[in-house]
Amino acid sequence: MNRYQFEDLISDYLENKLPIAKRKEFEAFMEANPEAKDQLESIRSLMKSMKKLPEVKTSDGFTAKLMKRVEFEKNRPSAKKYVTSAVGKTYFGFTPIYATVMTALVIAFVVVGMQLVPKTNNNSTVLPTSITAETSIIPNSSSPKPYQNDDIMLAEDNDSTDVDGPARVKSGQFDDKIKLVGNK
Amino acid sequence: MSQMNHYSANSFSRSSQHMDKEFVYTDEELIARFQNGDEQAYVELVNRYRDRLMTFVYRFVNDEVIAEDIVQDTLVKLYTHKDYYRNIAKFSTWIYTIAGNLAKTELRKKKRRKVTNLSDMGSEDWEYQIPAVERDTGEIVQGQFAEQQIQKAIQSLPLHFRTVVILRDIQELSYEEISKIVEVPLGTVKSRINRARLQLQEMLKELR
Repeated sequence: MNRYQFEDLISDYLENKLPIAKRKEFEAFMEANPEAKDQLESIRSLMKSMKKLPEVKTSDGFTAKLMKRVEFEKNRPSAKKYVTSAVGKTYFGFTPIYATVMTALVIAFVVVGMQLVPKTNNNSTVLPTSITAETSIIPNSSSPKPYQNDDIMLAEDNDSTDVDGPARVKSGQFDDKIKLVGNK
Repeated sequence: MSQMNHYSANSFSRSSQHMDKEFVYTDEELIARFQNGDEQAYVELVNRYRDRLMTFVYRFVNDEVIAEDIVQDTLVKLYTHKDYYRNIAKFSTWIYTIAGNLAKTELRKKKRRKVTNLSDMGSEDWEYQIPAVERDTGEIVQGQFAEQQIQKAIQSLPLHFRTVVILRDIQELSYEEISKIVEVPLGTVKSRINRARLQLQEMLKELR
């Protein structure tokens, strides 16, 4: 142990916070260095003196003056926001002001986001929109039998020139003009 | 009214340890009552803390008038910002943090004033001149002379050393509490206290 290490451990020694091994080493250093022992005793004495320093008391009119200031603060308009009880007036841990600001930010974010989405995803939204439009038209058409979803593509082929109507298509009876790939 | 008697029986005791257990509220219970609108609980907290804070701040700024103003500010802040206290820390830690911050702000202002007007001699410059008293070497650490010398030595410590040594050796707070008040790790607090004691001992060794 050198002098610096000794000085680093003085408070721990005086407050009995050194492990036994370290404590023995510390005491051995003190025995070998009387000036180190003097330093330790000097600090011990200083600590005692500081504990004995008298309490400094407030003046007699302290509380009266304080209560006047408290009354003043209570009635000050700008201080009322603090003085009025805010217990239970937090929203998700935010004070009302911050909660309002946060809510406004979230709303602004959502609104801006909604305006941006159709522009950025223009191509990808065309197909679903058209499909939706068609599917929404089909039930409203004058066709007697609404198609199932699986028949949508077939239904598109059955335009106004298809005189047989959907009933034939559904039963698999095609016109002779139509040649299937497998037909020889 | 009965509540007022309930508090006032103990109002002027410095330490709650000597109070009749039946009547003792912890600081945390008092601040909770105050937050719920019980103003008498505020008065009790003021009575418990005003002298403790006064001692702390006076040892820090070395001026009774300024110290009392700072304690007033601290206790007004306790009133106006009571709802900012959350029961996750000890009340004493919270109130000492407020007082310490106000004291540091005051010292910074004072330092600026000194820089701008060097001829403006603060009261502390003359208040603690070494009085012409005979030194009794056997009793040197006792009495008014020693107190003044210790106070003077504390003032010459850097602020971060001054705060921790006052809180530990005069206010007798635990290392953990001090760590929370000054918002530095426990190891740093221990190291600062040790360094502060060494510096004080160096300044005061001529007295011994």
